[in-house]
Amino acid sequence: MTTLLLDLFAALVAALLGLTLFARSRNRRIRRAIGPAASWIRGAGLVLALCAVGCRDGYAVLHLPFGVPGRSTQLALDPLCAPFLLLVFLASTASAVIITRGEPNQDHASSSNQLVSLAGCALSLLAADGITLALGLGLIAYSFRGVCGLSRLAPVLFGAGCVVVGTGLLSPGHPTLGFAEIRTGASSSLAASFGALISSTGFAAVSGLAPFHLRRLDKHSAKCAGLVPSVTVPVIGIYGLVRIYLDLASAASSYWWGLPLLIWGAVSSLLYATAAGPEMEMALENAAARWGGIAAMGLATAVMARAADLTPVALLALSGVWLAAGTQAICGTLLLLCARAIRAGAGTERLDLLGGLIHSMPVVSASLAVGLFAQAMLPGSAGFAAVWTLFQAQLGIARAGGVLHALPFVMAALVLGFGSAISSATLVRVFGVACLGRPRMPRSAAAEEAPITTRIVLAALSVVILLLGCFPGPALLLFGGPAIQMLTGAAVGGRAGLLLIAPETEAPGYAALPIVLLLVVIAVGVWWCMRRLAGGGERRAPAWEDGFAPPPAWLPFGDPATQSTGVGFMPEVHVDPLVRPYWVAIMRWAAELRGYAAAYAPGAPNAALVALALLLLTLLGLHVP
Amino acid sequence: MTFLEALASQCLNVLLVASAALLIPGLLDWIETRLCGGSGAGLIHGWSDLLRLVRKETVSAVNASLAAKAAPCMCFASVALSSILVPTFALGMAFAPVSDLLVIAGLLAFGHVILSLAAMDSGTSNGGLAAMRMARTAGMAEPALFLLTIALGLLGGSTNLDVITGLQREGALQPATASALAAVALVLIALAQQDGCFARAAREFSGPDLALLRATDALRLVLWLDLLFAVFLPVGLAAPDAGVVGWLRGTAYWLLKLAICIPALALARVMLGRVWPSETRTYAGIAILAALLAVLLALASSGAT
Repeated sequence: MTTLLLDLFAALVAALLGLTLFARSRNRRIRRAIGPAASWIRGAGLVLALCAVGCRDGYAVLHLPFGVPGRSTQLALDPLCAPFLLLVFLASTASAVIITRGEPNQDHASSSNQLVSLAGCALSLLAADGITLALGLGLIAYSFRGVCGLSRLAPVLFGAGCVVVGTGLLSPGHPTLGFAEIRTGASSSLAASFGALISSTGFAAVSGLAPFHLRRLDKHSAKCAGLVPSVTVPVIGIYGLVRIYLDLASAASSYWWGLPLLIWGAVSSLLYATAAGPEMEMALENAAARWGGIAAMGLATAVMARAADLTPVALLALSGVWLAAGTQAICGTLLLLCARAIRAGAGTERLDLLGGLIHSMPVVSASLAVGLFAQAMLPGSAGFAAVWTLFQAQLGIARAGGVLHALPFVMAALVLGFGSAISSATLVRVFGVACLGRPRMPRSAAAEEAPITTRIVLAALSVVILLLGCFPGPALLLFGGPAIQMLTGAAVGGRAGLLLIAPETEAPGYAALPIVLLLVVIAVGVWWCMRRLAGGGERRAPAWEDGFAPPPAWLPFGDPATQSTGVGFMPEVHVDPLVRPYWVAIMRWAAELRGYAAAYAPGAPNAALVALALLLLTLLGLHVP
Repeated sequence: MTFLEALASQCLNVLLVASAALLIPGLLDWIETRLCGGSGAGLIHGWSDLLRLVRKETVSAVNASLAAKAAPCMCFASVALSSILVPTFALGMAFAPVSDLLVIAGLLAFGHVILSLAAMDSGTSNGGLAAMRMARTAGMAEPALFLLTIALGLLGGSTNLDVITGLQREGALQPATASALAAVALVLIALAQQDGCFARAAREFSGPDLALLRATDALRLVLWLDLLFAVFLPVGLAAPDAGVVGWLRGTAYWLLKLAICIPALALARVMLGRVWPSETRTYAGIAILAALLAVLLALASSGAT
């Protein structure tokens, strides 16, 4: 079964790449047919990914009929990549339905890029050797070219290069850089440590950890990257980190490998949390990207716990990583789709121009609330389950040693606390300013609800997120259980059940569903009692003006200055003065170079990409047939 | 303890918490007035005010949405749920397995978020300011609560409140200095969260909704007191298998603790005055430092490196 699924996945990747060739056809009929065809392929990918998650009969390898001499390129399907494939195809299918139905005038080049990006993501996840993995990342980087400039392309390309060099160092004497050879030949040599460090740096760049986060804080970059890559590429980065640290280099790993990753994750999480932008899409993308840092913290805890022979703690930390990755991918997709729908319906995504959307766009507003609620640290949300699990893991490892050993984990837990407070503030700021209160402009007062297809997709994603929040235990058992067992050798079964996630077997833990049910029962009971007791009726009156003068007649929605625009809700950390000048200089230089290339040699950027790939392969003593 | 006994003790806990929330605000006000030389209103004067509010007409903003309508009920439910998760007179109650400190912190945060959203729903500057202040206070208070949970988790080996209370009751939550610092942190967090932001946000409501928010405030005060008693003063708390006699003894001890703490709180209010919104973040910051110190002491005592 797994072999059949892998064959079908390989055919699906080939079909996606084939479609991109037709996407640039001059025949309008062919171009029109591309969108629905791509949606069907994405839907098929989602079904295949679901089957792969449900299919627990192990590991399958597929040898492709090309590659380095003497050894073909390999793809593999195992319990680790299956859940990530599910997240990637879920995000891309949801956005594809909206793009096909809701935005028919979308640029064909852009849809072609999204297909290439999806094919790259799938290839990266299915890769069973360093070269195929780098090829997948290269495809993602290729999809960014001409759309976002170097701001997003460079980190992914850097990641691809790091993967080739890192896996090369991890598998000395094996030109194919195959994962199977790396696993069997892993040793705790200096070269292996360097290899793991370089690979993880590459994947950290892909997932957007600091200092590579600057590309995401770039306003223009956030808009133009496209919905699918914004959500799926960081997930690929997390997958890569898990693959390197806990699978490929696990035999060579030591306790101290986790420390830089812990600090890296904590810093990234804080930077994203405090990056409050004036525009909704950017704010929401940063809120979702925070989970990349949280997942990195969890992974670091798992690495250190495994090195210290604390398998239950490693299991708990990996459970947190799984929940964080799920939250990032599904909530990120939902939130970015909501931002798109608001931009289409209200004509802007600037928070200070919106307001009162809950009346004109109720479904989109409700979906936005669900997505933001799931990311905040509020009981019953998917984010709370992830943070609770990670917190227990950090507590568990901190209890196992002395002060110096425990301090990093205490600080990481503190960062989780800061992050959760700021995510709650983000919820209030974004939802409160955009969807509640008075409209700030006539355009937002006349906003139109999203088309029915968009609403159905948003509602479906909201239901998935609510289910993930209410049933974190079953979700963990179903989607992450086999992978966690593969990586730690211990089963999640005793610690995650239908109602409870617990740090140890037979111990008290976090019971999401009972808490939510109790909350709902009390709220409904109180509402019923108040309804029975209250006898005064209800009247609507203009809002109190707090001493402000009445607005003039030409301000039909009141004076906008008397309503909060969300400024001052959270502390903004400005690290830019340190890094920004150098980054701006590099970007300016790259833009000039690109301008010269476009003027004098239009094919030069693509040729440079190919040349770079060849150079990397040559450096490793390989040659392409 | 059988399931029925656990359920019965939980019901009694709900009853005690509700009664305390009914009486404590009036009692506090009465003692404060007496200390200031006045005669003071009756104990249930506050609740007669609330009943009058309940019977009044609700006046809501023209643009108010479902968020503003549902907020008072949701806010009350979140604080009520966290209150009944805290053991008052006995351990091993029906909700003990789900009574987690992080869940209680999350439920309190949920109440703040819902109230902030409802305040913003009216579209006035006052609502926006109240929401902003609540967000800024929570930005310091929530990390302090996290650190406090770490400290108690390190001392007790679990974040479950019943487990922590049980260990403290047996004197196993050592070192005592760390425990005392954690208590100081909890008091400071409670002070930071009892500022005027809630009252400011409540200005956007009227009639039954306002009554419900005032009841929520009373319940929140009881919650902080119960949390303080359970974690740092579990004297007389009945063991899970203590039976009805043990419960009665536990209830008597709980009433005694309230009888000592309420006048002390009233005296502190009279002598120190109210907490101003500008001071709340200072309190939360000191709470972070106290909790961090408690964590360090707990770590240092667990094993020297």
